[in-house]
Amino acid sequence: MRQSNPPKDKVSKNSSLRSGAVRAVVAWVSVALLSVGVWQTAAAGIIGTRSVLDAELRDVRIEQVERLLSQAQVRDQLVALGVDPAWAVTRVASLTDEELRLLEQDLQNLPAGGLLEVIGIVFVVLLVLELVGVTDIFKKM
Amino acid sequence: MPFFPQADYQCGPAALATALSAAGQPVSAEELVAEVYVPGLQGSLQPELLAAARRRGLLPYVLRGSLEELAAELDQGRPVLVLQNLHWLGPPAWHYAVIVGMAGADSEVILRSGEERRRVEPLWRFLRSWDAADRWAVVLLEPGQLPARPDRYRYLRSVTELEASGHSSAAHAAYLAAEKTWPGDPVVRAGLGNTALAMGQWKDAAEVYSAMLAEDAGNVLAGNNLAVALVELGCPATAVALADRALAALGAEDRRRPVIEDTRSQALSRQGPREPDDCRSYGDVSLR
Repeated sequence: MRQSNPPKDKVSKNSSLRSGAVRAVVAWVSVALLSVGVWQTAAAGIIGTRSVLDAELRDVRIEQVERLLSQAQVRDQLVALGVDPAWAVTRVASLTDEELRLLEQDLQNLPAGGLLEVIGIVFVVLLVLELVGVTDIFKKM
Repeated sequence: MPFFPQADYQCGPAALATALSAAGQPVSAEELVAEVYVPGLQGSLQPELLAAARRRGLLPYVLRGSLEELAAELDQGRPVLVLQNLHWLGPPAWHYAVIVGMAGADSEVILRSGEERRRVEPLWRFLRSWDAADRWAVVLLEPGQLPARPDRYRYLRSVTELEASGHSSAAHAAYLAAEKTWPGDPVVRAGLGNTALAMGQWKDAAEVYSAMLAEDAGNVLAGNNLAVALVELGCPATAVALADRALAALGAEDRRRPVIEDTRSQALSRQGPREPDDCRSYGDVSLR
């Protein structure tokens, strides 16, 4: 899916597939390494505080794998949206499990606050409508 | 309080810089762009603003969304970062701003918004845009500060997340503050023990867990984590005994079983000929 240019012959196909696989493993391991010590969903041998808060304790090992998968997915989305790849790794590392799940599901549709000044745009639209003759708000003012 | 005017679409970094600086973590909006801005969305996402605060050891506390609660935070001198939806019969238009006060007998809010250092908005207009953004508002607490109207679950959830992100000492301070408000709370006690453990304060951690076990000998978290602390304190035999007892009390399918088995084998591998007598001060409580 990531290979945008299909290889022309069999040899290059094999090698690009292999390098793709190697890249995936390298990415996987580097995310795994980076996340160690940054987020301690399950520090070795310790039952975490969160397990008391959420009465039900989930299998910590499963959680960690899920977390790595979500991190990789959200990181890829952020990079695709123009975030610096190195920063994307740091950014996803500080998200909680819930936040990761939320972004993983619906990143494109979540509120992304960024507006500079909307009133001005509305005013321009109203003015255009007025000039075109659709409305006559301003004559009454 | 410093103010950072926004560049194009960058109200997220600008508002966050204002809130972080007020919480004692001065940073410029430009520095935050790489941390929270998403170019492809021309904006910043709420979870990423919270994450940026956590990275600095601050506790982001999302308010329940009442105006009274917001005013109470302002009364404590804490600015409130809010999401607004400034849409006008069109698609959503998300905008972050920081409320720094109220005026006109509470009929107006004072905002740092966009390029304006001080923008006074009638309350009704602010409420319309805030309602349309599900009344999202957050305060950034310094370690040990409680929100003006603390909600136990919201607060503790945020603290456990700060703890999990590796900020043990900040989380420890937050648990200490929580202990005064909710004395004897099981989450707070576990958190005090676990943050002490994470900081390598084995004795403090062991005392917290021992006290928990004295009240409830079947507390699995306290049993296992005390065993971890005791291995570090040179008491592996007591640790093995604790782990054995915890395992005996667990069902075969219990998901905590592998963690405790891990602890037990760690303790076994550290066992020497004889452990010091003071190990029994923990053991006496837990191994009766």
